[in-house]
Amino acid sequence: MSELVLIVVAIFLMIGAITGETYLLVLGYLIAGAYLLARWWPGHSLKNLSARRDFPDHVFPDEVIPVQITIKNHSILPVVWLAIRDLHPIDLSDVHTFKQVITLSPKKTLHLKYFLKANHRGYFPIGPMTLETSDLFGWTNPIHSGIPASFLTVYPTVIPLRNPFLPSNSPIGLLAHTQPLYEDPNRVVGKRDYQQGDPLRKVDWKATAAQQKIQVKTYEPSTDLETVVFLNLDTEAYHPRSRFDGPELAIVTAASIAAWSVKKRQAVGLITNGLDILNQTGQIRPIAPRKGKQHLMRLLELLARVKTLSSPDLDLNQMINHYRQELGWGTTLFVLTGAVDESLIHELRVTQRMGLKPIIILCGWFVELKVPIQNGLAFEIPVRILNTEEDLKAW
Amino acid sequence: MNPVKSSQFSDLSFQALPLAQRFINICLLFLLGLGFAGALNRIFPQTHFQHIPWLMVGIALVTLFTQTRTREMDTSEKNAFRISEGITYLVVLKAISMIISGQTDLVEIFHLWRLHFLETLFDLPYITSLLPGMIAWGYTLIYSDLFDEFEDRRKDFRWDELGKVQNSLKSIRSKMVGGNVALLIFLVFLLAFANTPIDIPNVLSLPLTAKASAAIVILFTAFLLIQLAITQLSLLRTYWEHDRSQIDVSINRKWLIYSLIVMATAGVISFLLPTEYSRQFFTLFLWFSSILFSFFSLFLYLLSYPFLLLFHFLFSQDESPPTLPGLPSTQPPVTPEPGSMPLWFEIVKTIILWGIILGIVFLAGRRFFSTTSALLPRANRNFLFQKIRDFFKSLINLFFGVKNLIQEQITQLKLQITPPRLSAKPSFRALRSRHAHNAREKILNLYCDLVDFAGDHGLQRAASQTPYQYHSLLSSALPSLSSEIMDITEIFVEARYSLHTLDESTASRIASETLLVKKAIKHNAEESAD
Repeated sequence: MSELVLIVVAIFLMIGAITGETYLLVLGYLIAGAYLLARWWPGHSLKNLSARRDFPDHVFPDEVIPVQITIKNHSILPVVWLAIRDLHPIDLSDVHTFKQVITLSPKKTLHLKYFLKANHRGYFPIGPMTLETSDLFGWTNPIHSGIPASFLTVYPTVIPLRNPFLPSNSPIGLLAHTQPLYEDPNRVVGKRDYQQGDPLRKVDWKATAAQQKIQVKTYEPSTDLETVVFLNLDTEAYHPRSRFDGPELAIVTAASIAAWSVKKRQAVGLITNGLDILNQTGQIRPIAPRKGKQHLMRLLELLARVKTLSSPDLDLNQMINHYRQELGWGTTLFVLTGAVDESLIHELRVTQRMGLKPIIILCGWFVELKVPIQNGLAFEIPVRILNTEEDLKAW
Repeated sequence: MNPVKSSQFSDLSFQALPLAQRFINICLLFLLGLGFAGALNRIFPQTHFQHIPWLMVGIALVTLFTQTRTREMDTSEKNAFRISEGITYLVVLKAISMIISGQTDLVEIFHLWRLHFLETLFDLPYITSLLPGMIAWGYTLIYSDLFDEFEDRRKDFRWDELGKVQNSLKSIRSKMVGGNVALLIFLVFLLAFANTPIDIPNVLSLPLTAKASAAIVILFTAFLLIQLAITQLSLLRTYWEHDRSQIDVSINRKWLIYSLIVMATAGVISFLLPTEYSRQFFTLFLWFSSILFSFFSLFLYLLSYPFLLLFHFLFSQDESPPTLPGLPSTQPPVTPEPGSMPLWFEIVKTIILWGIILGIVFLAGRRFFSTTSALLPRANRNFLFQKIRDFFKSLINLFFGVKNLIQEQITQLKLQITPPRLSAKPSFRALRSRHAHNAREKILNLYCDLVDFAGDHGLQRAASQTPYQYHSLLSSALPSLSSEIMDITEIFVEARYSLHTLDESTASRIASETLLVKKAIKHNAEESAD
């Protein structure tokens, strides 16, 4: 088409020049002018456009995410038409792309808004956004520009645990304990008369002087619950009919345990064999137990991104075997998986003998018990089955 | 924040686009009318033609109105209406031309018509009104149909493939633009005629007239380009709506405004650019052409020089005065002069000469084609080369098209002279392929053979019979082979009407079954004959 226009222009100019007919020359100029303007305009428009996409990049599930697109025309010429296409995953919206065709006046800024919904946890690309324009007459092919994708992190659901029984062998901490073995000298709850066998360091000398009778301090027992979550994201470890819901429930459980621990001002760590989208080349490095909300957000971010793997580098047993040496004495181990077998019981038994406190939590609507639960309980390894999030809420 | 008002589908402003296109067409007709008036004024300066542009606009408006009323009619009704409309226009145009030329005395007019009907009916004012009027009528009809077709096709995007819709829209758009470009060229010719000074001594002398031509042409082109812009918007909107994009409602209005801005800018630039260098350019062009021609002559001379020398050397003695054809030669018979070469020498000399010439031509040709074989792909990329090639291709296609058309006409004429005999044996011959390359074609051929064979033996298939109906006929004749006949029928139907893959084993099974059936038919036929 464009070549045809050029030929027509050349013919008009040639005949006009030869015959001296002014109107033919003017006609040639007019078509040539319109043609050149039409060719130059879209490129100029696109060069003078700036686009920006703004949205909250970390959200919790079920939150509505407003995405605002700002398009600014810096040129003194208008943009005849501009087709904006912003891609986003189908998990976040009913439609796959935000599409709008606009026209922009000179030096004008336009704000477009659309909404996404964080239906479930994940690490989602928003974009890339393409801007497409062309000329008025269809003489040029559409030209494109755009901005790259930004990423949205949707944290996993955090379910507040009611009263989880989390045993620990680690004495003297922040959590109250029923066993008098774990008396905390910082938690004086009262005084009583001296009895034979009471250590001298428990004697409260001021009270003894006041009472003229030997008084000893009584302490509240407490434990320090340092926990590490072993999250098994090997799909083979889950029942075939629970390969989606099982790992997801395990992730939600891990997030809930971590949140509960941080709320109770306890240290919590995470070791998983899943796949981090940002680190696809290797396995995820373990997160050592730490306290504080900042640490919790770090854990939740990882749990938002993490994905299941089929036959990862380390299976659950290898993972426990590999990392238990590095854990402190008395640490509580949460083993989140979809199946329990003899080898896992054996590994946890070894772990238990090293002074750690393992708990097995089986996640998924269908769980695989290749050995009876009693086998674990016989070695005082608690086994808990969570079929749905409702079970977690009741925990 | 400025939220964009958007619509997912058509809106009122978009409905206005076809109206805008029709308005533009009326403007184009008005400008064409101005061109007509200018050209006619050159030839008949005493006659008034100012009414022609308005006449064209009026006819176009009336035609547009009638077009909307006749849209729902069927073809025959529409044709009848068009004939009546044409006659009405003829009468109205005559009336208008009479009023404009001051012929208001009807009694005198009827008297004149009685004496010299044709001369007085088709007078100058009438003919000069008739031509533009008919052009306006035809143009409006054609373009209204094109606009309707464009709109109808545009709506098809909801259920048809987008590619197909867009291709057909582009095709309609090309027709619209092509027609208007042709009209522009016609207008340019009209204006050239209206402006060019013509001076043929003692025959015709037309001096230069005042120029409004540039403005007319520029306006025409501007409207043409705006129409191009509107159709482009329609094309794009089809794509956007198919893509379910939200569309800014102001886009149609702004599109029109921006088109006008582009046109105005280009128009201003056009008027500002110089136009007074035509003579120098023309002189330069002639000078350049003469140089090119000289080079070409020199090249030809250098190429032919060896041949000329050789020719001169070999044939210089054979020059004889030419004789007039049809007259007996007055010269005495040629006798070999003493010392001249014998006949065999002449033959050898001719062979050598032609051998050398053909050898040189062969070597040159070989060299040329070996070189051009490498150049051709490069030349293929050249735009001008492609256009020339396409031109010749279309010329050849045109010739072939004309040839085919003539052949078709001749065939039809032959058919009219000798009416075709109705076949007594309707068959599936059209399905039969000369060479069966695959199982499907083999099955079709086998079935056709069977139908023909059965037809020859008294089991003729009626033209209206379906394969299953024919199966019933055959089965009733051959009840023992009804399962085979059913199988043949079913496989034929599958081969004919489905895209299923058929293997060779099925074809061979059908072959054996048809053989069986044919034998049975033959046997039955022989028995009945006995």
